[in-house]
Amino acid sequence: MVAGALSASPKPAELGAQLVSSHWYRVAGIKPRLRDHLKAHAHRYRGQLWHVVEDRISAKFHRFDTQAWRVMRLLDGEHTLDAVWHHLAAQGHDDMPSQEDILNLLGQLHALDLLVVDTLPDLAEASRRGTKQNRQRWMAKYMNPLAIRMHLWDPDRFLTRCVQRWRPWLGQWALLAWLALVLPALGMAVVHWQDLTHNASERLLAMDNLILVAVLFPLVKGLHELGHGLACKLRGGDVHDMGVMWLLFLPVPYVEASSSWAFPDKRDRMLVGAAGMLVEMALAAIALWLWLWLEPGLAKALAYDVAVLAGVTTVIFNGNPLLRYDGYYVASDALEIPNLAQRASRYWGFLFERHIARKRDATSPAMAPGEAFWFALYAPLSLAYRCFVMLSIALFVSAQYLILGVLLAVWSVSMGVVWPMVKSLQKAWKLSRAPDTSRLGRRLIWGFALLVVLLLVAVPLPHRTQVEGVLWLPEEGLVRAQQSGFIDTLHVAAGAQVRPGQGIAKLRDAQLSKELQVQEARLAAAQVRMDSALVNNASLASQAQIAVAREQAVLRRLQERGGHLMLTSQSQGQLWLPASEDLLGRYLKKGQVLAYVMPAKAPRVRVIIDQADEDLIRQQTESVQVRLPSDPGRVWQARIVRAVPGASRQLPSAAMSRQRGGEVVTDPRDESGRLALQSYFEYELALPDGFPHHLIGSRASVRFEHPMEPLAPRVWRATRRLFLSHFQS
Amino acid sequence: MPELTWPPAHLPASARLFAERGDDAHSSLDRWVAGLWLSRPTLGPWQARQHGSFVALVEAASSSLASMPQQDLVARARRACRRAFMGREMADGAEALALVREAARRALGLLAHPPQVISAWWLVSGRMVELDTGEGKTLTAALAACVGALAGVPTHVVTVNDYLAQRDAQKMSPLFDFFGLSVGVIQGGVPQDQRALQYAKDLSYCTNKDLVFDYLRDRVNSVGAHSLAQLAVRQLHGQVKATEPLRLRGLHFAIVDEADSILIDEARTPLILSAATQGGGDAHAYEQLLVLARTLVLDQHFRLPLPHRQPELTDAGRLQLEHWVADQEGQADFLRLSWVREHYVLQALRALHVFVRDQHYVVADGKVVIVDEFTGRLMPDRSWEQGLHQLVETKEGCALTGQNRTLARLTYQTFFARYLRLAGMSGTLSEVARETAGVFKVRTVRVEPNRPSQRKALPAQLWPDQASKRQAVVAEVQARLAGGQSVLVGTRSVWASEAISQALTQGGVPHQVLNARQNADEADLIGRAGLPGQVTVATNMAGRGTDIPVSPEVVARGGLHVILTEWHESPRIDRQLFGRCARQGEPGSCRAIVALDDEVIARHGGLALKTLKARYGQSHWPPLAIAWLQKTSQGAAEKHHAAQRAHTQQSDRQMREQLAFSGAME
Repeated sequence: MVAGALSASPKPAELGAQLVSSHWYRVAGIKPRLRDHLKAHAHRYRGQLWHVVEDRISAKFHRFDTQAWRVMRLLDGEHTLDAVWHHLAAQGHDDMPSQEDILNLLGQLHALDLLVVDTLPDLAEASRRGTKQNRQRWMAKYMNPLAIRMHLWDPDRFLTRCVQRWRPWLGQWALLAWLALVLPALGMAVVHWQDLTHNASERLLAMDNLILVAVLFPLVKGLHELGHGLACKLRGGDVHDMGVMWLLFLPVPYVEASSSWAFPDKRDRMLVGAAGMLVEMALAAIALWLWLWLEPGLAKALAYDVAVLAGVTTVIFNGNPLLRYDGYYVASDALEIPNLAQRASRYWGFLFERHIARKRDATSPAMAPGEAFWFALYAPLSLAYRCFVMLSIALFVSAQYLILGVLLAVWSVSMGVVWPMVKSLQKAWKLSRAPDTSRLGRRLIWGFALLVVLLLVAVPLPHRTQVEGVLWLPEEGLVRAQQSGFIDTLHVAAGAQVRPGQGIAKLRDAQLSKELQVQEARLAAAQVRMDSALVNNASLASQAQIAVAREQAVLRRLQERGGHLMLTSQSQGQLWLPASEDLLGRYLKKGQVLAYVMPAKAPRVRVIIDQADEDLIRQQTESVQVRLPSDPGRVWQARIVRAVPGASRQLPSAAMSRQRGGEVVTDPRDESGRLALQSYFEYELALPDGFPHHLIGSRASVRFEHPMEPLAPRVWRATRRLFLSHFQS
Repeated sequence: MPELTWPPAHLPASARLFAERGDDAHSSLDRWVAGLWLSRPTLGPWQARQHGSFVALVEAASSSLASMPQQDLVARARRACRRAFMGREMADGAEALALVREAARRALGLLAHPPQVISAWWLVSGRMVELDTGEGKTLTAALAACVGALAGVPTHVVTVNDYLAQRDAQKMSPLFDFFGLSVGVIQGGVPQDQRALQYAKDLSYCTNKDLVFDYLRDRVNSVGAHSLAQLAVRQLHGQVKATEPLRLRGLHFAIVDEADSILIDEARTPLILSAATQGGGDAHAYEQLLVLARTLVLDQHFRLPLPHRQPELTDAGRLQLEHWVADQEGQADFLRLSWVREHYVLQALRALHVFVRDQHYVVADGKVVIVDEFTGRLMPDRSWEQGLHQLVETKEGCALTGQNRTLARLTYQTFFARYLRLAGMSGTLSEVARETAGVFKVRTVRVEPNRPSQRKALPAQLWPDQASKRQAVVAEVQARLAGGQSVLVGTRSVWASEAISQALTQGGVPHQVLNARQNADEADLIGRAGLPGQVTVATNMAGRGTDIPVSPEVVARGGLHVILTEWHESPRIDRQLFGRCARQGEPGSCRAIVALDDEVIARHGGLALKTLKARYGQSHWPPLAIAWLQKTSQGAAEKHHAAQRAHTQQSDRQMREQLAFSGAME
């Protein structure tokens, strides 16, 4: 559903406002009236009466409080403003609007095109305003690449027919049916949670599935939007605009159901807001049942996709009041706080004005009891969540679409975070220059700004880099099978001390022994042939001699291989045999590690470091801390002992790859699972004595502590790096 | 070939009654950038060369003119002036000015100096010209006005007061007669039904105030019509009653004398055309309000925060008001509404604590008359708004005047920016070059004087309080008189001029006083100020446009000595006052004698004042410290005023936007 903001009326008169305006003379004699096509609806928000004025030509809604409405009601085109003012003054309410309030109100009504006046219009102003409005519309339409809207059709007649036909079934029965569908599905989802979530990202993001998702997404969202339209129609609204909006190059359907804002009952408005999500939840439930029942195949994959799409996007985006989607509108209707987001940020602006700029006449946007609490809560939460979501999208996009993605990401971040920041800075600056800001206020503003700048630039904050490493022995500490074979005998018990060269286990390779026998026989045969040739034919003898030498060489090689069947230790230390009880008779492939010889000192940690962090780590590391996943509470101090001077894509251990639970993305074509997609620098860290020896191969989380540094240079470095890496790639 | 049409086609036309420039809709950033760009410095030598070559061109063109018969001269001048005014080419300008200069030589017997010719050219091409005081601005303006009028463009020469308008028009009339140009004079004394006639002349000398009010009257009479044709049709159909003819012919070309005073200093207050309503309102209610306001205690019930000193009520003050209203059963019904009450009580506090008699207003003939803070002149036709005027009248025990009903209002800033071509002159413009450039899109040029100034600026003196300052002034006056000079003592307010006068009387020094209360024989007093042994005490009304003739004996003994008794909020006004002496290369001297408790220092001295006070205290202050104090306090005051002007402009613009529904603004 698409929704704009309900424009709000001016603030109620505050104490000490200008009673009579020096500009009143200009308007005293004119007889304004509201336009004919306006329709007013009385609403109640938090116990206060408001009037929502519907502009049926521009399909806009404007909200006015009772005070403003009292003035507007009197604008009939027959009485002059002076008469209106005297009429109001005769009533003598304490919250009577001042002339300045009335001028404000009329100015707003004029700017919103709600007013007809019986004087010659200011043509220059009218044309300026028209140009400005056109530009704003254009900007809203095209300057936001995330939301370019295309109108496609008017669904009003279709929806009317639907509602006529289904009305009997769309009441409580529909709710019951919905519950009957969704609640058990929720139960099933919990039961099958493992199956559902196992490998979810791989299943979803596989290339062929992505295409499926791209096709399904608009369909699902189309049903969602029709849900809005249907609900709006059901409660008596009009739906005249449906089309497609381009969100991140993906077509997303929308429906214009803003006529629901006129509904006086907030439950009706909430129903319209929530209808889309209700439809999606039902869809997700049906898809889940199908997924459970179907045999594996395309249909099952489809059902899975629909269930995840409809379910997850509802929870993360649509249902979340912190983003400006359906959940937000439902929540603001439920709380009876229209324009929650705008007013929440205005409330923080007000807090700044009141408590830092010390402006006594600052007025709070909170007009009803309890609103202030929600404002205080909403603005920071939503900002944080929005930042989080936007940065995630930015990261995702820049990983996929490089330059274009980065531009898009920069755009959305600057529109979402930088621009509001600039705006508020501008406001603070204006406030500090405003002539009615007291000296104390001005100092406090500057003090506050200085504090923020100091925090950014001068106050050092802890600075660290977190990377992953793997616990690892030196190469000579590994006992590898040099030759494939079955373990025949073990010469040393697990845990015993071994010396270099000491035999540890003997392998048996039946084929090798057979080959040896065959080869010995062939050698013997060759020998015999050579002997006979020496006697009979001297010319053949030299040939036979070569054949013997060849057979001898083959035999030697086989014997060598036979010798390799004996596994020996290459270093001194304690022998550690994983799974030592069922070793006998097991088959070892060539190169496989059978045992570890652990030296008396602690193992090393091998870490791989992103090229971007390498410089920082090499030059400014104060200490290194190692934690183990098995014992996260314990911290081991380590030190850098070796840095491989060149970057490489070879990982020290497959445990670091994403397939094995690490964080590095590896090349799927490589079978060893140790070839990363990106190059890394490798560092080796020494651990203190007393580090548990037996955790070889385990991942470890390593933290490099750098000197404390303020935030600003770090952000600067990170930004520069982002651009550098993208323009290089 | 530049276009020879008027009004020029490239200017944005306004959808208004007259030919005038449309109001620009630029943002403040645009203005700032425009100001920065248009006020960019020009290289001194480059400009000197440019001026030199212009003078050479004029001289060359002049050589053949001496014997030309009058008819030929006039006919040629008409053509040349049209080309020069429309095209703004330097060669055309030189020819036109050579002709006009020759005419002035024949008609007035005055040969314009090179700086006057150059200035006249810059005026014709629409610049602000900074020309030192005493360089003959009257003739300069007349030359430029001649060019404009000969080009067929309605030309307005705008002066600051009635006296100057009358005098300049009279003095220059032989020149205009020479060309057969008719001259109109519009000043306070000209009856309303004569004005259209005066504006219809080829060129008019007018005061700024009359000009704007006449413009406003025209706007009000035309009831928002967009063009003359529309107005005519509406009159025909009886929608608009043709009460009186339109006065002006449009805003074409203005030469503003004392441009900084009119365009900058006075720009802050809007001019309000109003019609008085009958009856003074409820005098009793105002008395009640004053009684109530007097019960409030400063810093307990209300505050007067610096630097604006606009009263603010505290919570205790509000409570006090409520109690008071509760006690007054049955009375003062209009005070029941809390915020009506608050509004009027704040106005009463302003009347009591902010506006000071003989500084902001004087009481003359049982009437409260506002004094202009910048010119020191009385403003009998201005009044404060929203009951303030009535409250001050009640405070002073005067009869209540009616609340004025506003018909139209306009600021000088908006008005003069509407001229199709705007030019200005003053002795002090370079300080405000950026602001004039930003607001009026006009560049400022400085023209060096014909003869170098011989003014001796003596080091300033600083005294701890008013009493000691006055003694020092008396001593200085006596010393200068003994030396044979005549003395002009400048003060900031009527009250200050009277205090100085008293001190001089006590010191036995005969003197004359020229201030807002005794300005009847202004011209006479000024004529005598340069006589030997003469001492004149004047508010800074003597600072603008008045030429004090200094007698030869005095010139021989050092000329006129000017004493500045209080720094003004802007150094420009100080310079104006100092400019009264040593005119046109004559000798003269000046000195500032100020006190630490002067308003400007006390209010805007800030940190510098505190530091210096701590360092030097009551002892002798070195000149550098005094200079620093002057710079910081005047700088702060200027900045404050500039900010206020920008704020006025901005709120004016916002107001315009907001009131757009009520039709075109005046």
